[in-house]
Amino acid sequence: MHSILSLFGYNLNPIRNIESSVLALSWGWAGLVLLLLALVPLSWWAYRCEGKNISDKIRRQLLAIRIVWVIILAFLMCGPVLVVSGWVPQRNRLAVMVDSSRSMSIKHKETSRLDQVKKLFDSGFIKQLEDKTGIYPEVFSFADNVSPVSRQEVEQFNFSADGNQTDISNAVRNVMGNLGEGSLLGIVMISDGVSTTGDNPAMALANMRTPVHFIAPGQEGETADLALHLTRPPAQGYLNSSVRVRGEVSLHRVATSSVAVTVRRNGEFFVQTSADFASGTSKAGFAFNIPCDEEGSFRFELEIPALAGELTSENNQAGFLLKVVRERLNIMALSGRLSWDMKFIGNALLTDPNAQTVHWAKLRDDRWVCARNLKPEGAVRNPELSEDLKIADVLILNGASHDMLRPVEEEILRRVEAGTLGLLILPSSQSFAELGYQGTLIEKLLPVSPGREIWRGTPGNLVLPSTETPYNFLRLIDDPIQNVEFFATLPKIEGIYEYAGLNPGSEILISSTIRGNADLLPLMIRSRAGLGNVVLIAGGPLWPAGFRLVPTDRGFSPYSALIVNMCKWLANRREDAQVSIELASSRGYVGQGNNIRVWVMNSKNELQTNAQISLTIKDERGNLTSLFCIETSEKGCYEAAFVPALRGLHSLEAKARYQGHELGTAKSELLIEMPTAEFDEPVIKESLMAQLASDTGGIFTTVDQAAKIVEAIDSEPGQKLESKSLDLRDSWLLLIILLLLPMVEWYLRRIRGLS
Amino acid sequence: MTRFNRLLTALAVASALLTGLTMSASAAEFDRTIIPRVKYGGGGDWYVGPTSMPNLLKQASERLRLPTQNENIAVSLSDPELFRYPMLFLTGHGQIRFSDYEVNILLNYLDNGGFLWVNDSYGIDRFIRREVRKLYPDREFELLPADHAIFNMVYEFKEGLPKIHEHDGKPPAAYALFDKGRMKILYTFESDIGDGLEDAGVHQIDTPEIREKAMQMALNLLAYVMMQ
Repeated sequence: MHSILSLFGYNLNPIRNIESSVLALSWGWAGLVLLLLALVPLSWWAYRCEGKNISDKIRRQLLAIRIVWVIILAFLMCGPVLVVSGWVPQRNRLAVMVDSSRSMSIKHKETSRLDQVKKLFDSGFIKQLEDKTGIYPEVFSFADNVSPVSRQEVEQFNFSADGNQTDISNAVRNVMGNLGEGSLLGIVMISDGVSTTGDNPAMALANMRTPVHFIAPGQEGETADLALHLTRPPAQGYLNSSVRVRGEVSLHRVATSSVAVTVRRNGEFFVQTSADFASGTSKAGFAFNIPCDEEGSFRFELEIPALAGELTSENNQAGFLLKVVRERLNIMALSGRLSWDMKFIGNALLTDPNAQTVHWAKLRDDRWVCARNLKPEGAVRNPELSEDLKIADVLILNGASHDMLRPVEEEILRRVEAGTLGLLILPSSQSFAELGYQGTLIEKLLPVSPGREIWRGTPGNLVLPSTETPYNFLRLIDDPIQNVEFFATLPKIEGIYEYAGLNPGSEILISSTIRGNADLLPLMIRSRAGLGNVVLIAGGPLWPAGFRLVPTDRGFSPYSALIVNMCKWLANRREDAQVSIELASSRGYVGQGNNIRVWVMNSKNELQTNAQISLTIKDERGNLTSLFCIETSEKGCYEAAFVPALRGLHSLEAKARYQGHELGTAKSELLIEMPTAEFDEPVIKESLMAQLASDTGGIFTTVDQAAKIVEAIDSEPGQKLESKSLDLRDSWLLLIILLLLPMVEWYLRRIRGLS
Repeated sequence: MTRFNRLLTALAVASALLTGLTMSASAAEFDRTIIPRVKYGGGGDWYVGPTSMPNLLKQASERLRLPTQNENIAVSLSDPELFRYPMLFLTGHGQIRFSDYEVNILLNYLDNGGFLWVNDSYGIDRFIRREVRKLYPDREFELLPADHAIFNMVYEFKEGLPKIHEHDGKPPAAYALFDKGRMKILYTFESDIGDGLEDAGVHQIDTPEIREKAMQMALNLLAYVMMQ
């Protein structure tokens, strides 16, 4: 077949041996039949019309030639294609991936996991693979990222367990993309199976065709371990209040009912608490309060005891930095009418001894009433609001019409953008359009687009979008799952405003099931306006719902905490400085980037563009790092990325200049720790690796039995099935035949005297 | 246009209008105020003056733009629904008695932001003082002076609590019980504002001026409670 096709002038490269071939027509076989049905009778009829007397033999010869010609012509007109499949030789590849994350430094019986890999390599594992397959394996190390390792580096065992995270799924995808999945004999992954980031490997590797073999450098049940983990430790506290710290202790092959957690503040003993384990559980939470009775930054370190021969003691400590700032929670509320919501919010706020409230409500005509710290005063006409606004940290708008806000509207916008005033907008019986907000400065601060507002007057439950909400004020109960359940079981709200959409950058903090469980509507929405925060509550009533909760065992306290903490967060506690540093967290990790944002205002307290910001970072050893901040798309905001190399407290100082003039300096602190994610679950994940190996057609084994993998790897010379489409019209031989047939007919006619 | 088409168009327009009306109306219904009367034990006529609260709520809606539910609702202190209402109205002429269970509930209610307005129709003074002592044994009613904010919240009462209904010729007095800096109970004595809130004609001697005074004082009280 190969020779015939070559004879006809078809190029079959790189196929050597044809496995199968299929003839196909562009017009399909039906097209050919129809064409023949049209052409053959026509040819027959044309032949008969000649009317000359010839012998039957000659007649049959001439007719056959003509019919053959017509058939070939019709066949070629139908676009014949021959699809030829055959085996093509190819170079095989084999990948060996070595986990170089920090968890590989964990020791089993005095030998680290990476040392066990070294022993494996020293025993000639790579050579055995080469001998079996005839190819030298491509070796990669993987942790934060994947990098190829040269033969020389492999021979010198140039690996170190210093990666801060492991992404097995991404590493495998990366290697496959690099080498090409089709030519891979397999992947040998030497890892403890601890994947700390990225996709779930069980899902990502499930559909792979290349076998992935796993070698575990140790065994699951070899040693015991205790691990300490902090759940979103607080970064800021307020003077004369307290913050709650939550964490978890996990056990592995340790039989105990309680583990003591020692807390140190700035190196000195602060408190001791314990994690108490219920029978049969391996994880237990703990919590403690930190009273904020002193201003300043405090470094807290938590520690659990280290066991003799423990898997690792890297996960026995955790720490965080707490900044305690002076309380200054002045809350001003402006109401378009009296409301129970405001009464109960005021009661909640005054549960905090540092909070001061002033509530102005417009009753009728130009008569306003005021209550300072919930002590009502007699009505006055057209009061001066700017004095109260000047000292307010949070402004609550409760159905306040634009006419009421007009005299202080510019001041509100300026102060919110400057970050010295937080805005809480409560729902009211009037829409934003009815309140006259459209086209005003107040509209700019709204987290939603008020173009279309529809009141959905059906009851609905509250839903926290995520168990791991980053906002402390939404964590009313220590346990995240119970917290979500708590919100879900709160009394229903009576209705909600549905808006055309959220403004860019807005975030939903709480949703509502008013339109159904599958189609949640945003209830509490936050947005950023300059440096300030705005929260809109779109449904209600907010507080009578809480009031109805009183007979239950939880009482008012969760509601009070929600309101007080939300207002503290809204108050934002930004210093009245022209330059301020914003950190996503006061805690960072060695080797991981931290985004540092610097906000700059001019002497008019307006956000300043085109400023030059220099950021200096000093670590505990006195080393200085200078960074230049780049202006972001947010007005007055500049950003720099800092990747710390050392652990410990880092002092940050940002200097802002504009047109040669110094605008100001801001200082902050950042606590850098060694990342502990690699040690959170230090146990070798045997079952996961066995499952992944099984799903991909590979095998799982320990270092001692690595020879099994050498045996299992396919050593057949590589070849792959390839297909090639040949257009039969491209043949010179067919063209010759097509030309030759009429010539033969002409010749026969000539010699028989028919032409 | 055929008759059928015209009918369809009219229906579509009517339904669009109704939808719009429903939406705006339902928004106004949100956060409605209801002031139920307390159904107490002891034999006193807790039910007296059934039109007084609906009338007050109606005026609150008109004059203070408060969304209200203008109904005469009664609630006993042992009813869990009590906690739906941030303010309670207690009135009558005779014996009042709270059980120990009711005392606990009422105390919990008041400590968590609730408010009780006691209107002396006539003859409850001895009983209400006895029952309030059960609630707050270490507290006494305080006489509110004429310059207290409650007399100047919406309307001005320079003389203090107005006299609405004459009984024994005694002067009217507003007594308040304060706890943790907050007024929790207001006891209007020898004034009978509740009578003045009732429908015209229920008490022939209450002139429109007297009834207006009662209404203004009750609105002051409502505004005060909602602001504190």
